Amino acid sequence: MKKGLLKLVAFSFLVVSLASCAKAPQAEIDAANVSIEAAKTAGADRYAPESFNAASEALKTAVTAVEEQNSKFALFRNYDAAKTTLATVATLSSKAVEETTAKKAALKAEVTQSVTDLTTLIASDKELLAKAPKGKEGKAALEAIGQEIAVVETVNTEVTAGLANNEDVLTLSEKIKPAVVKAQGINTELTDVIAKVKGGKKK
Amino acid sequence: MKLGWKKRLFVIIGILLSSVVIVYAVLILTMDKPPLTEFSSCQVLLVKAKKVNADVYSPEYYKSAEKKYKAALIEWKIQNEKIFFTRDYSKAKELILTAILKAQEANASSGSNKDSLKMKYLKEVELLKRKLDNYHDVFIHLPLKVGVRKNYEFGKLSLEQGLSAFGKGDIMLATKRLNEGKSRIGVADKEVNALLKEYFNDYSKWQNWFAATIRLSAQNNNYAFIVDKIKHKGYLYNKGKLTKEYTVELGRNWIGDKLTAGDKATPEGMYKVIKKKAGGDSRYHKAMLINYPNEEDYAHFNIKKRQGLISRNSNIGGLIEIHGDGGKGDDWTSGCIALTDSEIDELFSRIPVGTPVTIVGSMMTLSELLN
Repeated sequence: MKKGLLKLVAFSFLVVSLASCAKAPQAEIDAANVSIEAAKTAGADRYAPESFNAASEALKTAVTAVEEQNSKFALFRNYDAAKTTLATVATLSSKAVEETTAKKAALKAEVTQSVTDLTTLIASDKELLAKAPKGKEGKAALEAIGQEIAVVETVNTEVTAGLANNEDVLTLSEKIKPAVVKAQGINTELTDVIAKVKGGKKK
Repeated sequence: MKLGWKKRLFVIIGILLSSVVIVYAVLILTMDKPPLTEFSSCQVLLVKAKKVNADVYSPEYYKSAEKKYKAALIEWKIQNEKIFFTRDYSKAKELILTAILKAQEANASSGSNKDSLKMKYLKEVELLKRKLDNYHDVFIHLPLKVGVRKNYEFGKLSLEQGLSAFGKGDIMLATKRLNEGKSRIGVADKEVNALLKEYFNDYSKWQNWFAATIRLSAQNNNYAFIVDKIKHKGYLYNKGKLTKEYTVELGRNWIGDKLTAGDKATPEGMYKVIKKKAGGDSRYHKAMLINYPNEEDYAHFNIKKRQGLISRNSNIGGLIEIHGDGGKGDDWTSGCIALTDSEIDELFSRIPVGTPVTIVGSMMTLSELLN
């Protein structure tokens, strides 16, 4: 009877001891690393930097927390906090990917609209250029404007091709916006010149 | 009192177990501690550094901090894999302390680096803008190839793209676009420089001419007219002082001196008005004939002929006038200097026959012009 009781106590102690040796959440760490890499591949570091940075920082915190536990005596390890943080890494990474997808789509729509606007502006610029009077600085100035329009047109063609080839939409957006402003500027300049001449003739 | 063997065994086991526990406890209490505080401090510093864009503006320090942080973490991991009483975190501590230092330096230098990059960027933008203004004001009249002009326009657009990025606080992209613009404009500048360098070999001659002309105007207490071909400007001096500036149009091949009849070039030299034409005498509203070719032109023409640079049968030409019908915005004359009708009316009424008319390539040096 006494012997049996002793064996039971020893066995229970062994079970409790083994059960207390918590295992490091390596699978969760690997999964978190994969989710961060996936977010980076999607371009989240550029399109959704806040969420992406938050996910990266959370991973760092989790890895440190795991090592903190690993530094302890096996019986005293507890990875619960690290696991909770690792779970937020996955959430934040997914959020970063979602934001990236949404931002890319919005930017793509914006760039597409800019291409349409720029095409219309270029056509209008060309039309106005043909009507523009050759004043004091006439031909040379008009030739220069003609070349400005040609450059803007090249940018428009490049961006159109970029959209078709699924190139980085952020770069395309940065490229086309100043071109639209430039085309608008040319339009205003030519409209003003033509209006001035018309006004002058009326007098 | 003697203990039974069983009891003695229990006592021995008890002592042994207690000893093991005590040894373990001592080892646990005295084992090396990992640099936990340092790791969390470094993490905070790295987050802070990222927030101030140290990865962009102090990349060396930031990358070094990240690298040391990773190395420290690996070292920590290696030690953790060892049996607890053999662990030594001194290397991990050293690495994380270096990472902290680098992260602190990244934080401290990011702001100043950003400011100096901003300053450098704005300075370079100014230089490029000046070049573009030059292009617009001066080079626009040069007979440049379409490719050269396109390079200027591309450069201009790149600059504008950069300025748009700068407005959004993206100095790195702004600098990238600026450099693209600089490169395009640099290519165009090379062609312009090559074209102008040879032309400006005559600059000292031009300088003497316009200085002498202004002196003449002062000495004679009268008018003198100087034409700057590069700037496409005519300057009216009275008693040695500039009184009026006109935009002029020249011969189609205005770069270079006139050599022969029909070369569509505007001559360069010191001349004077020899005849004034008005009414039906001029096809171009009003005109003032100058004494091209003068003695120097003849001498120059004969040298070139002897050198075989111009055909033996060629003629030096003549009938170079300052006339009206200008304002076309182009260099369209056969070598004459054209002004608008209202301007020629004004000039015609002011300057008498005998007024010095000096035509130079440029009143500015090439470097003044280019910078």
